[in-house]
Amino acid sequence: MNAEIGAKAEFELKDIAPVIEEILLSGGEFRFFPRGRSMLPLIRQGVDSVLLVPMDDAVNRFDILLYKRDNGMYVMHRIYKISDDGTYVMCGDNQTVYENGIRKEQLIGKVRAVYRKNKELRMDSVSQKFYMLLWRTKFVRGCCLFVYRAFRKIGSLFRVSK
Amino acid sequence: MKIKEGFILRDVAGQTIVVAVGKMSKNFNRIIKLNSTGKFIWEKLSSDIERDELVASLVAEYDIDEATASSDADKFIEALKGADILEC
Repeated sequence: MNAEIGAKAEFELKDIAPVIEEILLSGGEFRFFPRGRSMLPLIRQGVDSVLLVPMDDAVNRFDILLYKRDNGMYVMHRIYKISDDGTYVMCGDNQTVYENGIRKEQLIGKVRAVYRKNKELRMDSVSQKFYMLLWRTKFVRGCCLFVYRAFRKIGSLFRVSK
Repeated sequence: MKIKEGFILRDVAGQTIVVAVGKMSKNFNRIIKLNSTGKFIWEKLSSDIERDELVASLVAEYDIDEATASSDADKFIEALKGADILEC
C-alpha cells in the first residue's frame, strides 16, 4: 500500500519535535509514541502514546511539557518546581536529577493525556494526582523507582527463560 | 479532486509522513506514512486533479501499464476518501 493512514507514529523526539513544533504553532495537536525511558513508568516506549497540545497561560507544577534546550535538544519532562524567578525546574519521572532554569520561551507544548492502548489517562485525573503525590518527594520517588525497576528486571528474566 | 486544506508533508528520519495542522488536527491527530509512490500521488493530489490525469502521470513517472497505475490510484483515492481527507 502506498499510504498507511493512522500509522503508529513512533519516533525519536529529536526527529519528530520540529514537526510537532510546527503543528502546535498552528494551534493544532498531535498524538505520538515517544521513544526513550526518562518518563517511565508513566510513558512506556512503544506502548503508550501522548497527546501534545499548544502551551496556554496555565503552566502548573507537575505538567509534562515539551521544551527545547539552549543546545537545540528537545526534551519532554515534568515540571518539578516553578522557581521564584519564574523559570522551571524539570525532571523526568524516571529520574532523580533536576534540570534548572528552563524559561517560558523554551516551552513548546503540553501533554494533555497519555494513552495506554486506547484508554485515556488525563493528567488532571484522580489517579494521576495520586501518582504525582508519590512522585513529588525525591525519596519516595527513588523508592518507587527502585521497586519498579526491580519488578521489570524480574519480569525480563522470566521472559528470557520462556 | 484534491486533498483538503490542513495537511503538511514532511520527511522525518528517512520516512515521508503527513500530519494535520491547525483545526484539522483536532479530528486527525495521527500520521499518514507514504512510500515514494504515495508521496508522488499525494503531491499530485495537493492540487486539483482528475483521476485520469493522475493515472497518466503515474504511467509517465513510473513506466508502468495503465491497469497497474489505475489500481494504485484507485486504492490511494479510496483510502483518502475513507479517512475524509479528500474533497471531490
